[in-house]
Amino acid sequence: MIQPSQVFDFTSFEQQGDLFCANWQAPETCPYFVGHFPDQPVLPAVGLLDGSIELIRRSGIPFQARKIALRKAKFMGMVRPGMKVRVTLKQKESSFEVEWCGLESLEPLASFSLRR
Amino acid sequence: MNLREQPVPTSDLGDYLPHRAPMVWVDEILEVNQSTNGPQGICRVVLGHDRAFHAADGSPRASTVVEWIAQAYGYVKAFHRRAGGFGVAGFGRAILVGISDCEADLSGIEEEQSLLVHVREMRNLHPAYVLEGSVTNEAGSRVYGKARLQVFGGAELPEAVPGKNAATRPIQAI
Repeated sequence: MIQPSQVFDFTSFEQQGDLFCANWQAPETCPYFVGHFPDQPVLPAVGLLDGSIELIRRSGIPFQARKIALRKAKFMGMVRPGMKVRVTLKQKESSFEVEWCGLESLEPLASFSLRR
Repeated sequence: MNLREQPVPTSDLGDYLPHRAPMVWVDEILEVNQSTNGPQGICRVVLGHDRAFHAADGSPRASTVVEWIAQAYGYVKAFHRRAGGFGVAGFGRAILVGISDCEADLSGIEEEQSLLVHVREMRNLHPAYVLEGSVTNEAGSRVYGKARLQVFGGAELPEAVPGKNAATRPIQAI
């Protein structure tokens, strides 16, 4: 069992208007890395999606665990053990837009558009 | 190719895909066929024990649908390649680069012992591929989720590219 609420121990929360941001450092022991992959651990897409949902929850918005409607997601980079990332949530009228980027490099890593 | 009488464990294809326990979330291959667009097939997921895709309440997280479809596609393509007599030489990893139109509602899933993951390749734009998949109960009467995925990398199967030396080219591994 992987519990995203424990895995994604976000820090440095910031809120500005409809933007909600937080930082996360992927732990070397992150359970998503176990078996994905043994020689070259990388956070799977499902981990990035779970992290996005977790950030929405941390912003105070209830999000059903059993339902999801994902309009679109793009993956531009990889999150590896130890990497520090910045995750930004923007609330729109009909969607949540979540973007992941490297904390220091600002390299875009992934983006999600989830229906509200 | 109908394998339902003797399903092929995905562990048999460990040489083709890099996933290892506990991140192997698809258990058996039940069907693999070649359509005009590319390989398609059906895999089974067994739910009855604690797995990495379970939430704290013991049921799978809705996000799992994406990984089930991605892995099922990888195993279907790997089986198809092996059935064609090709090994892992030149094997390379494919990367999931996009998801669209994904919906999942796992309400009531606790009543299921297992699920079926149906996948089919929609477009082969080597080295980019578009596939779609759905997750249903064993009878196929209840759809729990669906998604369209875009992957980059890997290689076409020999059947899909007459005249090319596919044996030396890599295959999908999502």
